[in-house]
Amino acid sequence: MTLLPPSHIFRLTMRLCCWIFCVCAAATTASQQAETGKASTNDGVYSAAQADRGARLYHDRCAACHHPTQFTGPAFILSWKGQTADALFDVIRNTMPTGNPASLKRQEYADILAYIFQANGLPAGATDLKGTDAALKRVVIEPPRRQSPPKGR
Amino acid sequence: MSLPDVLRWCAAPTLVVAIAVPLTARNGTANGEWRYWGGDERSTRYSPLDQINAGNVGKLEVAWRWKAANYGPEVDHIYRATPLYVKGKLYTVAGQRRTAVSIDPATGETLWMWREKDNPRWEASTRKNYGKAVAYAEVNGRDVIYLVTASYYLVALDAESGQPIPSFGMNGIVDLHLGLGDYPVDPDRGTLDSGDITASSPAIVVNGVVVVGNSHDRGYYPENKENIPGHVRGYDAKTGRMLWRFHVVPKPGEFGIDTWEGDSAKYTGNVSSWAPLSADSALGLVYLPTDTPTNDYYGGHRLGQNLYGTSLIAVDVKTGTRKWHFQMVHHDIWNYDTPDAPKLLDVTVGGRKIPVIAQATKQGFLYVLDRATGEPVWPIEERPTPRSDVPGERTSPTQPFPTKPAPFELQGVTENDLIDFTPQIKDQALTIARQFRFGPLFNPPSMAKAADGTRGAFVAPGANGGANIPGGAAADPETGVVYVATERGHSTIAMVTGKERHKDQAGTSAYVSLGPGGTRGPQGLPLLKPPFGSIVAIDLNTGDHMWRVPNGDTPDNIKNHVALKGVTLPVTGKPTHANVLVTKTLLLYGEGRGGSPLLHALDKRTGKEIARVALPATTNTAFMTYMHNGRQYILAAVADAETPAELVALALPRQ
Repeated sequence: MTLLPPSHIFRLTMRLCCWIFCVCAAATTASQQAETGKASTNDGVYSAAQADRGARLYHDRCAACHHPTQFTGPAFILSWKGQTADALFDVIRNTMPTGNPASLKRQEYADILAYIFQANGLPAGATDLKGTDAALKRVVIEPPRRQSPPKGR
Repeated sequence: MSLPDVLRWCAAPTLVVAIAVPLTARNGTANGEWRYWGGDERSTRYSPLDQINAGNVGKLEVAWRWKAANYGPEVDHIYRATPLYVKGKLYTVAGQRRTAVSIDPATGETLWMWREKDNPRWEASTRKNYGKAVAYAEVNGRDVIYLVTASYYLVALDAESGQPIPSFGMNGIVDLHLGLGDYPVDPDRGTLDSGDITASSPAIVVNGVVVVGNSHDRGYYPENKENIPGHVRGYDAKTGRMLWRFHVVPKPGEFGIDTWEGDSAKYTGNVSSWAPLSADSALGLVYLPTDTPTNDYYGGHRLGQNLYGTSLIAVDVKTGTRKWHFQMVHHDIWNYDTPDAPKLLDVTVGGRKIPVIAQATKQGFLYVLDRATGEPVWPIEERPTPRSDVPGERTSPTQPFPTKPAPFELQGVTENDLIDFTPQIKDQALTIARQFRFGPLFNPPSMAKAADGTRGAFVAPGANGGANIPGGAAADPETGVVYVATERGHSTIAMVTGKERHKDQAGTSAYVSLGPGGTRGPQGLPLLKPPFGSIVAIDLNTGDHMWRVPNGDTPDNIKNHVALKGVTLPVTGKPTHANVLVTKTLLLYGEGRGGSPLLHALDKRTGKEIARVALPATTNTAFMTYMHNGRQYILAAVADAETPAELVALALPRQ
């Protein structure tokens, strides 16, 4: 029997492992989604029109105290990574606006959350993020996926 | 009867009244009453009542509820007011309109309401919904309720009818925008073109003088370095005539003017005394806790120590002249505005009887001074503090550090203070926190894009304390113990140019902060390790801490956090300011905004929990207790995101 040189064996093994891993990972993710029904903030969980509404609300009700950059960037997203959107939603709604917390409609808070997602570079999708507890619990907050490099590089 | 006979006949009762009045003023909670926001003029939040005691407090039930949610264009989901109980009636305020109301103490029936007319000054007020209480005084035999409105008017209402008293001011109303200084006063807008003065706390009536503080908009990011200073005024309780004005920012020639470089005293404002005031009517002094000068996080336009920013000032209530002052933070750029009424107690330290004043603060110190002289009871040392590298800024080279009592909250941050329930969580916390510049107490604000790569300063305590107004402190005159409600918090303060923050609306302030608040920890957890909130008992006879307890159980969202499965957690307390009240035997507290809907009763000597009672929603602010027709009630303002504002009265079940 001819033995393959160790380097070939190594490369073949690595390719096989990577392929198996990728298939398993994809299957796991798909099955997780299927089991739990959760979506990531990278899946387009709000609409562009909603983020526009949220931007106007933010300007009217939040910007007087909070510059938008307070809620963008690595520090902010890392803080909420892995949490479902209802956790962040509840913090905002229970404490803000400081003059009269919980005075906006639930859907208005969801619009503001959509604006914050947009400001963090998370992609828009086809439908609005609903302001119900059930809908918010289905969204897992993740940092924006890195853009793939342009072709040709 | 001849005139001399009448006079002789009248003299005796008059003598009795003359002696009784000062006692009544001091003991605002005598006879089961609660005559001031803080119970008495000393703001102790103490009542000697003990019908409700350790043996029966667990049996408390809801006696009545009063809905407070519809006193404004929006339904209120927060309620910051503490009622007064005087001569068999309750008096308080409600809603964004700050409507004054009188309520039946046995049934919760509304007896009368009064509110100011709609007007542009109300529209512009940034403190509409922060109304904390009304004030009371007996004036020439008439019971008077004084209301400071959100539009910054002072109104004297007849306590019986709820109607303005025509002989006070103009038909019961004094315009507080008048008499602030040389500011043009527009008939509709008052002084709004010069600044944003308003008020949230009640006045206090001392020896026939109504003393009124004020408030401003939040000072984190003002466009301009200019604002109206929060000068404090005294008005005649009978006529409403302005008797004096105390300059919280000195005028040329006045004491303290040399603590303002250049002409900064001419344009800098704020320094308001927005927290409720305290008084010692026997000494004839009113005590003013003051605010940061304009702006909260940048002092480059106001170099110098900036008297009387972030100070405690003792003012003669008849003349408005300063008796003494103590500045707790020199050249404040941390938003460490004094956030509670100071507590007055008489204690014995090292065998010496001292009348003290104790001020709980955001920065985590309880400053204890002789309230007659302003002298610290235990030494307060000036110690060096860090410099700022924000352009144009110059921090004070030193700050005062009390040697006793020890700080009641975490001061300054090191990596050791970060949340560390698991190694993974600690690692994540480090990644988040290392974006900011760590430092000790009085770590100065830093640039959002600093040369060292940091995105701002990590400051502890932050702008929310430490201590802050919802919690504050309660003080026990029988034992000399102060109970401070504290929250462990931080701010991450990032400075930018005025142009970056305000763009086309940039004003005259060269640098401003991006905003208040801190940064969340990993996976939504707090960034700092527990205890997240505590109640600390400090004995002012010795300056020693007696006990500290967490202000409630570990929050559910932490207990049940997915990253903490199987991890044994300590009892962390809630990241809230508990609301405290002390009685003959009990330390009562509500968990405060963001906490669980519970009233806790502790043994006030040991901090051991005796009982907890369910509430419709959590307490939002200081609550009170009173005795009415032989029944003791505890009355609390409650609200949360799901529960609109209301008052809840608790009492023991009727036999």
